This record gives sequence, C-alpha cells and structure tokens, in this order.
Amino acid sequence: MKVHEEDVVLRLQQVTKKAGKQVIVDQLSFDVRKGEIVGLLGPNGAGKTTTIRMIVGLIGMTGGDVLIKGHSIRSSFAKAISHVGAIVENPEFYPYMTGWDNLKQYQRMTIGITEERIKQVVEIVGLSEAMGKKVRSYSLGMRQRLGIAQALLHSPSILILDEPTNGLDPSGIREMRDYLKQIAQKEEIAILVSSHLLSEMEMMCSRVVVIQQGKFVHQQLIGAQQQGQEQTAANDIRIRVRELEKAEQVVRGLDGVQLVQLDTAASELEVSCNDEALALCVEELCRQQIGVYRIVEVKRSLEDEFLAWTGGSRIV
Amino acid sequence: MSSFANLVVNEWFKLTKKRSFFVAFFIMLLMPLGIAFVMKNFMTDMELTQIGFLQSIIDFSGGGSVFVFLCMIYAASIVSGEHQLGTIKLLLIRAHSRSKILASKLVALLLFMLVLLLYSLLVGLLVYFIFFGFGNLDGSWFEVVKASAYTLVYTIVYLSIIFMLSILTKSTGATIGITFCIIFLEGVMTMLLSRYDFAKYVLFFNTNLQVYENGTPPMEGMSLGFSVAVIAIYLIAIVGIAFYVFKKRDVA
Repeated sequence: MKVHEEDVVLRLQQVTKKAGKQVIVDQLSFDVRKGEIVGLLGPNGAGKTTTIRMIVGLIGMTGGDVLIKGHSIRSSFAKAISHVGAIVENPEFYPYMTGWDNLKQYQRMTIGITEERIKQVVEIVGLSEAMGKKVRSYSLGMRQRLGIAQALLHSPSILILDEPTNGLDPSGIREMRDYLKQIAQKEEIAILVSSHLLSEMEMMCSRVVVIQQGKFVHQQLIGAQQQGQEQTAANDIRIRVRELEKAEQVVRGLDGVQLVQLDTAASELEVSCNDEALALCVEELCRQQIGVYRIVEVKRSLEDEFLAWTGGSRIV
Repeated sequence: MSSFANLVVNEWFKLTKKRSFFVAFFIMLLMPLGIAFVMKNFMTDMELTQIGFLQSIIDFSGGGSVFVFLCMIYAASIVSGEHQLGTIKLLLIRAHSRSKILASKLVALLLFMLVLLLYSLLVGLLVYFIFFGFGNLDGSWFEVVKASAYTLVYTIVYLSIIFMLSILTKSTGATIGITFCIIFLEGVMTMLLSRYDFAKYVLFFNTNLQVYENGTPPMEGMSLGFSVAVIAIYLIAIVGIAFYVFKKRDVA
C-alpha cells in the first residue's frame, strides 16, 4: 500500500502519559490516513481511552505530540481540534433540552455551520423525527446517533470514537456500524474507533492497531486489503474426503503442501499451502478418485490473532 | 468577540432551559408579596415608603439574603453540572480555549445575577404599588442603588468562591455544602478573630461595605477603599485559582 504523506490526517508521535511512576501510555506512535477506518484495540486497561483523550486534548500528555492535519494539539489546540469530531465514551447531552437545542449549542461554538448543515447531519443519522423531543426521552441508541451528529456538524477530517458500541444491543451495534461505514464514504473522512469488541472491529475497520499496557503491539490490515496482500502466502485449508487414509498419502507426497492435522472423526485433513499448490493438490485427489466433499479455508479470527499478539491477556 | 458572545448565549440557554430556572423568579415574587402582606396587615403604624420597601427586599442583611442564596445555588452547578452530566467532554473538544469557555460561564452567571436583581426591583415596585398605592414617593433612589451595590458586592464575592469550589470539587452538592459551612463559619470567625489586628485582612471582614455608611469603621485602619482593595485582591486570587485549575485539569 502506497503511503502519501498528505493523506495522513492523524499522527501520534511517541505519545506518553505517566501518572506518578505508572506509565499508562508508552511512546505510542501510529498514523491514520484519509478514508481509513482504524480500530484501536487492546485489553481493558491497555490505555485506549487515555490515548483517545490525549488525542482530543481532554488530558495532557507527559511526552510526545499529536498532530492533526499537521497541527499540534499541544501548541495549536484550536486549529488542531477544529478538524476533529469526537465522542468520548457515552455521548452525554443536556437532558432538559431538545435534540435540536443540543445541536444548536455546538453550532454556536463553531463559525460557519448553517442550519441546513444541522438538518443534513440529522438526516444522515436518521434522527429527523426526534429533533423536537427532549434528550431525556432518548434511548441510548438515539443518543449515540445524536453523538455522531454533533461530531459531524463541523465537517471534520477525522472522527474519533471511544467505544461507540458500548451499551448498545445487537441491532444498535449493527446500525452504528452501517452508519460509520456510510459516513466514511459520504463524508470522506478518516475514522478512529477504540473498542475491545473484536468481531465488531473485524467487520468495521480497514486496519487495526493493537496496544497493550500502553505500548504498540501490532498493526494489521483487515478484509480486502489483507487478501490482496497475501496471495502468495500459505493459507490453512480443510479438506473433507471420502477416504482419509489415501488422501493423507497423496498430501504427504506433494511438494508445497504441508499436512497440519488429521481429523479422523470428521474425515478431514487440514493442510497449509499457497493457491498454486492447492490447485495441484485438488487435481491429484480427484485423479486418485478419493472423493472430495468440501474444501474450506480456515480463517483465523481476529480474536485468535489478538490473543496471540497480546499473549492471551483477557479481553473483556 | 462574536464567538465569545455565542459561548455566553450557550451558557445562558443552559441556565434558562432548565425547568428549575423559574424557581428563582418565583421566589423573588413571593418574597415581596409576603413582606408587603405582613406590613399591610400587622405593622400598620409604620410609615413605609417605596424606597424603604425596595431596600428591605434587596438589602443582603434583610430580604436580599434570599437573592444571594438564589444566585449561589445557580452558580454551584455551572461547572460541576457539566462534569456530572458528562457534557464537559463534548464542551472542551471544540475550537475554543478552556479559559474562554470558563470566562463565558462566569459572564453568564453575572448576567443572571443582574437580571434577577433588576427583576426583583421591578417586582418589588409593582407589589408596592398594588399594596400601598402611588402615594408615598419620599426618599432618594440613590439609597436603592447603594443597597443594590452592597448586595451585588457581597453576592459577587460568594459567587466567585462558589465558582472556584464548583471547579475544584466537580460536585454541585459538595459545593453548596462547603459554601454553607463558610457562611456559617463567617459569623463565628468574625466574632473570634475580631480582637486580632490581622483580621482586617480576612475577606469576610470586608464583604459588608454597608458598615461604612454610619462613619465608624468596624476596625481601626479600615475604610471603604481598604475593603474594596482587599475584596479585589481576594477575587483575583480566587478566580485565578479557578481558571488555573480548569485549564490544567485532566478531564477523565
């Protein structure tokens, strides 16, 4: 993947936070580029929320810097933050005001937001009907959507969301995911999401950055990008056959195909090979009339990989 | 400047859109009604001018203490309320410095105080007319202005203390609690410390500017100018601490 410097919207440089002797975030560096949805993953207490709060300037950092479109959040806060839309933990609003009045509050805080823009944003998150109601009567899902609306008001270059699906039911989570994907396209912005819900991240993000105990551990492309990258790499494949023993002999006799394990109960064998070697393998199995029932790629879920990266530390 | 005005408008709406907002105005209507009722029915021998009536409403050692309390209660939640609601996070991630946001809150608070004062005077005047007619116009309006000014000074001192406490404690309840303790201790302290000379530099010895009316200062070496200077220095320190803490704070 080509990296264009000008596409970098958010850059963390050696960001460090210490509280007394304890190091909460330790020299964390990563970039988020235009159009990307990046997931910030980590076990509880890894420093995700602290990192996000430092990015938006809610808490000060002990060392390092955060650049948003090239502006330092430390030395030119107003310029940097004007490119950021964010929800930090649950979005909280003034319950005694209507949804509209709440958004008007944030409109008045930024020059140049028209009423049309408010209506447009409300349309995107599907809250048009509820604008006249007091926020007190909103469900959590509606508050989340209002949260996204306030974050989008000033057309930011990057959207930063801290645990956006916390406390949402499955349909709410799905809705949120759809909104975010839609927004990333429609508004052409970068999104940084923190979460410990791995399956969620897997479905939503184009890249994940994994941190643990405040340190950068790993980063990984997900989905389409990942496949494109790994065409020549070996994949794990499970093959179910009629005659397992004969199949085993065939596989052992082939170059480029490694037998990973044998599952006699299911009459399956798991092999590791690249695409070309797999084609040869299947050809050979057919010629020997072993009877291939199914061929399935074994996908390691993000969860498995996550546990490998973080050394099996508890996720929840 | 207009962006700052917008911030003040925001703060004003945060105060006024609450249902409890009108409670203060309701109470400031009930109080003159009550005073007028008592005066009319039980103290018929007393000659009451409208100036005297307004003074009794606004003087902080009389009916004005209600006014002071009301202002204090509204001030207590202006910063801590944002912490308790969690809205502080969305408030501070806008393109405005924290000092500007805090200043807008302070301005909104002072605005509220002035509006409530004007309202109280107006309502007081109306109530007087209704109960006693237009007959008695004796007395100087300057007396009302002076009484208002004394009350405002007293109120502003307490507002700034509450403002600071609201920031330090992040809790409306704690702020109100501590403030009431201070008010209670104020009387005791004044009594205990009055024999020491340094007491004249203590804030609470100076908040009552009314004492200079009759010519004799409460302690040797004190004058109107002295008290105003002491108050000013304390105010700068208190508001300074408030801004410093608010600016440096990690919002978790």
